[in-house]
Amino acid sequence: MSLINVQGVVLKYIKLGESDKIITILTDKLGKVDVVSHGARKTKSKFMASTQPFCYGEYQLYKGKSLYTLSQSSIIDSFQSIIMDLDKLSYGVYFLELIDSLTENEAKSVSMLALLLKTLYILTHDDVNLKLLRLTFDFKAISIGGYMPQISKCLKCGDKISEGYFSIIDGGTVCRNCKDNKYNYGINKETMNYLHIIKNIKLEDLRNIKYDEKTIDYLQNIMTRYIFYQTDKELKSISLMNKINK
Amino acid sequence: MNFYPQPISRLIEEFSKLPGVGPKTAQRLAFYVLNMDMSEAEKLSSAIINAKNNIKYCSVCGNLTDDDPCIICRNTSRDSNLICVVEEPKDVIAMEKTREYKGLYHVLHGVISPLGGVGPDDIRIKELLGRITPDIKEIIIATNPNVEGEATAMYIARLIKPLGVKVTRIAHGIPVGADLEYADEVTLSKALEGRREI
Repeated sequence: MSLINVQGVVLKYIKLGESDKIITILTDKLGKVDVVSHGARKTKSKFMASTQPFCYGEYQLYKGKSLYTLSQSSIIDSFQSIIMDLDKLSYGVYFLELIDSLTENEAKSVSMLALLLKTLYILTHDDVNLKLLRLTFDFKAISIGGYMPQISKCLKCGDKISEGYFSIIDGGTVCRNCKDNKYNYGINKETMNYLHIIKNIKLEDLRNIKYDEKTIDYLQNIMTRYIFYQTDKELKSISLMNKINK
Repeated sequence: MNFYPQPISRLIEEFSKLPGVGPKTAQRLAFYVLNMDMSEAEKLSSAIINAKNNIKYCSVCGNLTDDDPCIICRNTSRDSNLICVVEEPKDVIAMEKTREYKGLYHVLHGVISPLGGVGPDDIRIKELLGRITPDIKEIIIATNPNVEGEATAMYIARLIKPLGVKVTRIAHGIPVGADLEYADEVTLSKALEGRREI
């Protein structure tokens, strides 16, 4: 039995039997893995806090027949300030669920883990607009997941464009002449400019940019439809997030 | 291949549907029932049927009861200005075992689970809001101290606080009899946060 030490963030858990859990961790060395945590639901379990969603920690695992089993754990950050704030929690849970839907089991993705950690830390400490953070996170997460939308050039004719349409099906911008299906959303110069900013900006610089709430909402609507089209998964956390933050 | 006569294999099959009961345990339980006196077996089966027929949810608090309203809601010596909000009926039993709490309860029958797709409308939050009158002095939220429990607690607090009612959360900390050195950082910091003067 060889032990593997990994660092990672717990994305979700399901109950197993009377007192066990299967947790899904996005790790640095193994990618996303499902780990059985024996007794983690008991009041006196040493794994109780480290197997909660959002927990970033060091985990010692060993490989069983199909799943990993948790042997030891220590917490690096449990992101309690996210859990104890309803607005932040609703966004945080969405970030975890989106990452879960964009990653395959045991496919290494250090950049996805880095994005998630950076986003969670910004959510914890910074006074950043949550809608803007979500839109930027969405863009960066789907880009790492392999679905980066192409902007600035028309996907069909290759012409450089400063306005036009965003095609959900084609995954990027198209010009007026190439627009050929109903899943197109108009992009004016200002909206295109925002798309460029969101694509290139570092998450830690988000609080320095000026934003227009209506444009962010409009782009978020496009982004949500694009993510749904690409992943074919409806994220359960969106309805709670919308309900809490309406 | 089935080695048992049909009635026994059916009994084993039914027992194995119970939580925490595997095929071996189901087999042991089935043979135990077969070796019982007829009167004992009848008592067991009638107890199951009786419970299924007579137990319902209290129309006030949502707890399991055979009489509506339940014995706790009917009890006039309890403090009706205090409501303790819990996730499941078994949490009411746990609270009652403390013998410390003398108020009323409200059972949510679940928690808000953003990842599980359970929203505020899927649990008994509306019914709780319907119970808030000017006489209510305090709502104690005793959901589990995990992400879902905290989300539910904060959601309820957000709805109730504007009504001018005091909303409190049960304390989190070290279990009685535990060793500090084995407590994790989160539990310890919660225990420090909730410390009190002695």
